[in-house]
Amino acid sequence: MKCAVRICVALLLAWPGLAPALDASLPLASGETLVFDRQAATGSKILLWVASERGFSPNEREAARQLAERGIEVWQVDWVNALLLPPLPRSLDHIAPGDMRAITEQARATGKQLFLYATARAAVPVLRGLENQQACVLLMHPNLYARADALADADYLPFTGLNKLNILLLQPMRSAATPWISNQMAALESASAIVRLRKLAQLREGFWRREDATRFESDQGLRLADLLSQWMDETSCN
Amino acid sequence: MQLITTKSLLTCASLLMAGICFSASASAAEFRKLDGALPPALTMTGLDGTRHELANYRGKVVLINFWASWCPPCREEMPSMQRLKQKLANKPFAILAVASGEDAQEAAAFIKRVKADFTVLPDPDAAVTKRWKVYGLPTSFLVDANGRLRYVLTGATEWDEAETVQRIESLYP
Repeated sequence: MKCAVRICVALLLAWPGLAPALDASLPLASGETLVFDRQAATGSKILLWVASERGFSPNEREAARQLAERGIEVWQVDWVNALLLPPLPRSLDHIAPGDMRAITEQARATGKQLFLYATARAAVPVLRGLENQQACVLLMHPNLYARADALADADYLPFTGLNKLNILLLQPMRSAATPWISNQMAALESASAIVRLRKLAQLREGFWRREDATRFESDQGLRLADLLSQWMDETSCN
Repeated sequence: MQLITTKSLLTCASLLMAGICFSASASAAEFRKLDGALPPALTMTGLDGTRHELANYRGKVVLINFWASWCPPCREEMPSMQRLKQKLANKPFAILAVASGEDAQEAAAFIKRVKADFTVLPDPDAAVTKRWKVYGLPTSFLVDANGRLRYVLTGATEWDEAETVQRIESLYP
């Protein structure tokens, strides 16, 4: 019986999605403590990965583990879960730039080359926290709208001081945002960021976590670590 | 252990809230009344090669629906659009379904699968989508018989529901 239990535990631990990440924490100026997952690695790069309001999916957790295996340290920050905010995109607008800056500085203090990756509305706290800071940023279908009503020009959130950022904008082509991508780039460039665009063919937003994923989307979702590694290499930071 | 317990509780709380919010957003798609302005131009070619110009639909109430075959809520509402067409068969009513970012082949293959026979207008370069300033899919507009914009809906709905049919019928003089 004991043996069977041991085998079950061993199998569970061997299951890729359940590989444990280390819990790390950071006291914030707001008085809260940010608990985040840290996949330690010995390489020279660190990826600070900020979740959207939907948190991290199993594919994203697994990608972090795989990246760490390849030597890229990954810190996964889920602000909404950590601060018990309503799981809505706009919750991410309320993250204090100082709090985002604090976790960024902590990552930078490792001495590794810093990359940030944010999905959808998570781009907002990331960009606000990076004002006047140098960083390589990957933004997956960022949602930067202040207002987007049909029949009227969309308003984008104002950002300032992004002149030291190299941004790689990742845009799945099967998205309602695709026709507007040049406006999105212009909004970032107006804050002086250097922006490059990578179009992702045959993919929809959140392809790595969709219940209705196509075969191709499922395959790409399982390759998230490969893709992230490739996109990090594509930033003009290298 | 303490950490794990706390994290689990936080996750559970988040999931619970997510469930409520998803329910809320599912029913949040609401018609927004417009001020009766003239719509942007819409001149497009249908799947059968026929040229369609919105201005030529004057005298009919028109549902203009922006959709894409990869968009699940767009797919979900399509059968109800077809039922709406049948329900209003005796009235001057038309549906123009603009396939945003899709070419004729993609749009035709999809529309055949959902067995719809309303007018489908491929918008492969999304030029019309941009002219109408559509930021989410599906987005639908109701144009009255005088060619004026009366309602916009961002999100899906059941088009043959009594309340919606009544809203459309209210657009007839």
